[in-house]
Amino acid sequence: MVKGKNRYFLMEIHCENSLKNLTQQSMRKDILNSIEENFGIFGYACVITSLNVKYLNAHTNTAIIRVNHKYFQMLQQALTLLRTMDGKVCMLRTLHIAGTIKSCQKKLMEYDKKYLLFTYERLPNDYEKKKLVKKFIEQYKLKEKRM
Amino acid sequence: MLSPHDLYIPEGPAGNQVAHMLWTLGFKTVAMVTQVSLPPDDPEHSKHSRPTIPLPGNPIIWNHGLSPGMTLPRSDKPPRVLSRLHVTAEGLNHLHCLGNPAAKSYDVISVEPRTEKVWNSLTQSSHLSTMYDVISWDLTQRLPFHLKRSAVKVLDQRGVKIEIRYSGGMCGSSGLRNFLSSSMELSKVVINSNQLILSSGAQSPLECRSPADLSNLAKLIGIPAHKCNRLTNQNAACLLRKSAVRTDSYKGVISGTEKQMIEESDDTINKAALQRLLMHESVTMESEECSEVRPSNKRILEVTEKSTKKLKSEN
Repeated sequence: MVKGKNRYFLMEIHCENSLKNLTQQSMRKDILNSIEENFGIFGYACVITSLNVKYLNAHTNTAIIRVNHKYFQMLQQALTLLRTMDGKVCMLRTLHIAGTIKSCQKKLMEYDKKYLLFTYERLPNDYEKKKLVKKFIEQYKLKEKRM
Repeated sequence: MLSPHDLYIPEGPAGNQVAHMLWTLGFKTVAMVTQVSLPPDDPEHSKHSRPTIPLPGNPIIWNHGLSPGMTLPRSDKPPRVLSRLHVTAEGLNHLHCLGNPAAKSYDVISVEPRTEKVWNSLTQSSHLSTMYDVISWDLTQRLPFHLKRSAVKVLDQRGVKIEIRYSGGMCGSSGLRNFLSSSMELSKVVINSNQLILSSGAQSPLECRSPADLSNLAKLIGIPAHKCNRLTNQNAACLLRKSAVRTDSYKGVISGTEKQMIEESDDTINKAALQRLLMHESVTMESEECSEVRPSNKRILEVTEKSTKKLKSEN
């Protein structure tokens, strides 16, 4: 039996500076702060038990956030009104909202493939294109070893 | 198909950055604003002074390659760029701008009434409402005067839209407070929510939001859920249709499409469509001919049979 329904947000973070110091816990804190700022203590109390940042990639600036399905609209509104993250001005964009984390991951894979193709097509030289492919293969081999 | 619009982008380098950001977020049409703000009424010069209007500025130069801030995937075709004139009217003489011949070269014209006198004149005279398309306010401050539902309804009947600029709410907590309160008031006063439009008015690219988030923001303001998507899509497109009538028509007569317009569109598709059409016509023609021939053939056969029978009987 399912204990409680959740909603998973696939978010993309736009920022002028790099967000390499951002961690999952600090991101959760920033989101909770924005909820408290916009919806008060009641909103904070509704969300705090179920809110969790499940996945964060600081290189591609993507994250997956979980929340109880009753309050997912509140979270979505708080995310659109969020202005700063880790002390830097930023903007969040929702790519996908789903009931399971698996469909979010599928969507993220599709998006990353698009991202790679886009950068590959626009690179100026053949040398840099080969460089990107080499890096990609190295990363893939590392993953296989870990598996 | 949805095609999101953003009809308020400032001129200059800041506007260029914002336009690139909107391109990555998936917007299809964008309007560059040239602002005309004039000093308040001088009783001595009010009748004789006619404010001058600059012509539309340079269009945006799109960067198709990779740049440090913009490495995100986006569509190959950049958004359509329109020109827009924004007049902040603090006195009645500022409305003379709208009759200026230079104003006709702009695609969209908007007015920001700062006093109740200007608002009343805008709502009462039907002649003035043909000269502008949108009314918009800076929502980081409170609305300058109380709006009546009856006046807004009159504007709706004439096809004038009311704009909400959301970027003020993304700057600070005090700005957000004012933005939410005044936009909620607007959504209460405007009964027909098809009259409202959402646009950015952003000074920096990080103040913009994506179309999906904007429909969510509209829900927060108090617009019914099934109409939230319309604010950036259909309503803005409807406004552009109205403005096209203002620029292309003369005394209610609309100009027809030019031959060049058809040639500019994709030739290959047109040719294929034409070929299909021609083939279809030829096939139908053939079938008609066959159907015409068959009954006549039958008659001939009948006639011949009858004639042979007659001949046999005579014999």
